[in-house]
Amino acid sequence: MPTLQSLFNIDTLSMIMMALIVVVGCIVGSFSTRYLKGDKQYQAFFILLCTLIIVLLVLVCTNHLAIFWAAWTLSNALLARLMLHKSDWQASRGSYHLALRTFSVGSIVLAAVCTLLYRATDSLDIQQILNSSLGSQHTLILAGLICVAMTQSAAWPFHHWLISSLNSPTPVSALMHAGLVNAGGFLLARFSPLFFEHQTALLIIFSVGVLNSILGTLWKLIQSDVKRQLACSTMSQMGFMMMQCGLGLFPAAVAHLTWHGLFKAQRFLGSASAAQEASLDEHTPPSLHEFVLALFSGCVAAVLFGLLSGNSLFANDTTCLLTCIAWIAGAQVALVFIQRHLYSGLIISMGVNALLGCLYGFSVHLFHNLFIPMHFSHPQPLHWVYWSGLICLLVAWLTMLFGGKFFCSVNIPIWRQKLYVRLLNASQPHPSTVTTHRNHYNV
Amino acid sequence: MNTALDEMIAKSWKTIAPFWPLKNLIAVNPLAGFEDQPISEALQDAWRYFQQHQFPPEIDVINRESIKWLKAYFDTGQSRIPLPLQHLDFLDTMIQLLCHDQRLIQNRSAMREWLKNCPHNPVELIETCLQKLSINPEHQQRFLTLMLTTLPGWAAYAEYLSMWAKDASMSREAFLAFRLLIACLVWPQPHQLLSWFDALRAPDPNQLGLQHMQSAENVFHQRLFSQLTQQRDPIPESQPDVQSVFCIDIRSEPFRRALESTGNHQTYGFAGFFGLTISVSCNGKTAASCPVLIQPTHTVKQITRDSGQVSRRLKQCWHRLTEVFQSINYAFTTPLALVETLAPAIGIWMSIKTFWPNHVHYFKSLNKHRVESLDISAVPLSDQTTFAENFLKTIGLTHKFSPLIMLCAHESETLNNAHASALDCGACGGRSGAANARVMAMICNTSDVRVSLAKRGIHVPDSTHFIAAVHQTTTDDVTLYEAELPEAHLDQVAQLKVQLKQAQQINLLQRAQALELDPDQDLQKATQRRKQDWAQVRPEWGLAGNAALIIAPRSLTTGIDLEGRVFLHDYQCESDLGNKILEVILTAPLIVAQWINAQYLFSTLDSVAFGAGSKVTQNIAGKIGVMQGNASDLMTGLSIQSVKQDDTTQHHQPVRLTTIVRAPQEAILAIVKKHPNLTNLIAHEWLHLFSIHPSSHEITVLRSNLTWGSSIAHAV
Repeated sequence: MPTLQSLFNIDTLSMIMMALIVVVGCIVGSFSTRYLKGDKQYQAFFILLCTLIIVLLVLVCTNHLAIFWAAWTLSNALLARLMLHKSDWQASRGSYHLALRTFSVGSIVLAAVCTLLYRATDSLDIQQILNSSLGSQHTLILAGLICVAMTQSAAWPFHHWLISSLNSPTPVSALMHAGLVNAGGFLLARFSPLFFEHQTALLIIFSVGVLNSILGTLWKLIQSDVKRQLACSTMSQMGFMMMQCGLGLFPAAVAHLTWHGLFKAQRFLGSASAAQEASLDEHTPPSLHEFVLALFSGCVAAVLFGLLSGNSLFANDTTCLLTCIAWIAGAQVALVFIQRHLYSGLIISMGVNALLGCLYGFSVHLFHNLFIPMHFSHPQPLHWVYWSGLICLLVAWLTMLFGGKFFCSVNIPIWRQKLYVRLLNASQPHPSTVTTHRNHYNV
Repeated sequence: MNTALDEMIAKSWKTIAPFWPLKNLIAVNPLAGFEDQPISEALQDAWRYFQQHQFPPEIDVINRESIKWLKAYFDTGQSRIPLPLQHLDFLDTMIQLLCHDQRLIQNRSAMREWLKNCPHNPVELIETCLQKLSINPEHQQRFLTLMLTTLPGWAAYAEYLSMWAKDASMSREAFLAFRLLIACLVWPQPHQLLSWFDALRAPDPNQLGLQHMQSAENVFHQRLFSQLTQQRDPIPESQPDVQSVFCIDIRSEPFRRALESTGNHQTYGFAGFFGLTISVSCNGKTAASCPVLIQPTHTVKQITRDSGQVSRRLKQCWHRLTEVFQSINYAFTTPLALVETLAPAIGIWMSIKTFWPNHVHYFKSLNKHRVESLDISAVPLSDQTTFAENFLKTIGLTHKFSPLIMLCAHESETLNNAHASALDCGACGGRSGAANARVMAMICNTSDVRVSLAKRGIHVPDSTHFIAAVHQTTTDDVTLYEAELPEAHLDQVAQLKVQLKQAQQINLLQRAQALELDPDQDLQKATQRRKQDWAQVRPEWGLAGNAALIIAPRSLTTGIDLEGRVFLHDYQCESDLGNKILEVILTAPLIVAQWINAQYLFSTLDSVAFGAGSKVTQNIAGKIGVMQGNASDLMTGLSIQSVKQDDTTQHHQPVRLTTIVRAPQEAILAIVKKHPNLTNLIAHEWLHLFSIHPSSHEITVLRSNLTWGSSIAHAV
């Protein structure tokens, strides 16, 4: 009979995850006591919510492979059930079934992975498994894990369930985007020691991440309703988290999924104010002069990020990719100021960038330090795949920046019209989840 | 031109009432187009057109694709990469883009060719499509109507754009042509739709809610009439210390009652725009601040100034930070870094909002501009005088002026509420009425205006001062605009403030039960919290409960507990020569009240077909309206949370508007007969109209055959 101690293993990763689950759970719970007041499903919602939180806590703490799988499957089933809040509403049932189908794929593959792990190591103790060699099954196991993470984090081609999930009540969406989609990242982090020595697997994760990050952003920017815009944004953020996993920087990935969880919960819960939110950025393409100054100002953010996060600026490994992204973000911030007043804007923007660079660096540093005992951070040598990924991100950014009129110029070429329509169609929710007539909605 | 087709198009659009976008939601009767039929027939027609649940399956596809394109085209700022070709008008854009839509074309090159060569003139296109779909001329009318009524929410928005907002890129014909175009692409033989509709047999109108309505109305009438007839003629009282004018809004009634009980107060009711047909411009944006039925004639400028240097700087910083946030959030690659940078702060902010909503206002003030003063120089003196004269004469305040006269507008402030503007002043076009009250007070305080008024027989004493105020309907706070207050009035204003606080407390106690608040707690704090709580779906009850409009002097209703269900409009028939004023009241405030009443009535009767469903699953589309979930028709009307206590229990009682006018029968009847829309409303029983005889207090009803009868017989 295994002891309680062998069933559970509380390490940094589980503690951070527990903190996230409890904070988001409490906020969503407190919010819902007022938001769902008078709702027919009020009680059922809270029973499901509490059960889900408990199951998630078990999931992040367990050290037993079978419990891990059971908690994983159960939590997804509970989430799908929460999505089916208005069960008389046809479209909501559509979302429920779609999510359930995707989750079953994940769950079955995870079961296969667990079986393989057990057969390879003859152990159900996760820590023990991570420290033993897996022999010939290693590749298959890694492929399985990546597949499960992709279904959970709604990576293309498993993204349909997430962008069709908005028939759920707002608090459930908040919980889903702050919690359950992150489980993909958690899975990769939990089993990260298996990946460290296999750069090919990391490169695959990285490529999936880049693809989703760009595709998600593109879809997000063309959506005209607030909730689907947020769902597409989650897709791109999950892509970035996978990129960080692919870079071997698991602490950064965990930092990202934690902070993204809080960020997205706030965006969803506040989504009813979208109509009052004024759009402030006018977005005129900068002149070359402004652009160069902005890049210069962005360096401030990059340098401070590098210093604070403990990444050497000229490191010959994957940490420099994060620094590059900080640099791009810094340049974007600087443009807001520089496009208004060239030189005084530059000064102000450098100050703002210094502050933002510090904040970004600090949050990565915090997680980096927390994870030192777990030996989670394994920056990889720079491979051409990493470079191409970075170039893709850079090109996408520049296209949006300078080609703001890409899709809305007066003489827009036919191929761009076709591209737009294709993107629009690809980002539509599954037909069974659309309420085609208002009377199909059912309270 | 094809006049027969034009007529058919116009007729089919009669089924659709307009839908105003979220930034100024205006209440409308969703069945406004059916008002020329008896309500019993209209309910049956509405059942067939709007309350169906089963459709031929092809309608699903047509609607799904229509919603996709309409949402993208009419987006007003949610997407950051807008639809291509948006500079063209609606139909041109759609025809060009539909050519590339593989979901609709599905590699049928003949179809694509047809689409490329189809006429771009909407009426011609409708004709072409009707031919292609081979709809017989005798069925065309019905088919066009069904193309609208199967997607009523978006059709309502198109109706708003083309007929009310006068948007040149949109027309009724273009919307219909678009619907037919999609039908041509996915459903070449749509005759089934016609047979489906013909097979519908509407139930008895009594089962559609009419009977319930009637019995509830009878109970309401009996109670109200017994209260009104017991009312004695008031003993002429001493000169009141303060006179105040409130909006006719039903939320004013209990507050006025409370205020009157705190001292020697006289209150009046008048439409909250104070008769000012103005638009207000602020920071370069201009918006009409009068009922949508009226065209604004003048523009007044709001001058915003922030009190201190520090607070101005802070606001500037906040503004710039928001700009930075949006610029990083809506770009490629950069949002990835944004999350980690800002999330710790956002997490703290979210916790404060959720657990301690009382502290939110420290931060919220950063987003608001304080209006320092208003520039009314664009309104000529003669017009100012006319505005003041009409206003004072309508409510009968032409002599016996008190030293202090408060003009009280109202507004509502809520957080995270898509339908926030539905709680504002309907008479001001779904906005705060503060600007109107301030402008009217400024006009009445202008000495030149007073000189001109004196020439027209209204002598406002020099010792009288008009002060503007705004009533916060969520918390019952009243804010006075005290700038330029003469010293002589300082004491009176101080006393007024004390009384307003008392009135607030009294009214909150009356409202506590409906808001499910414990009357023993600090109600001011509790309602304050409600207003700032981002999770609150019922910050206040708005106009729920509305049932009647009383057009009479306040003395008829003083002291009667009308339970916040009645619009009160002051009117002195004795001084209304030629019944000009009554005509204005019956054709403007009455219609606004009837629209509001009908909106609440139908949103309660069927909260999905006429209401917006539950707030819990709403999703805002294009910043113009709400959808349900992933994608749906625009959900016009009110959410369940605005009319029901919970998913099943009604808070608003669905009744038709009862109008009681204290005026001679002949005067009322003459006006009703003169205006066809009023005749329709009475003859087809969309509202009840009663007259109270000015001297005998006898109440008589105007029956649907436009003759007067005893109200007792009616009630039984």
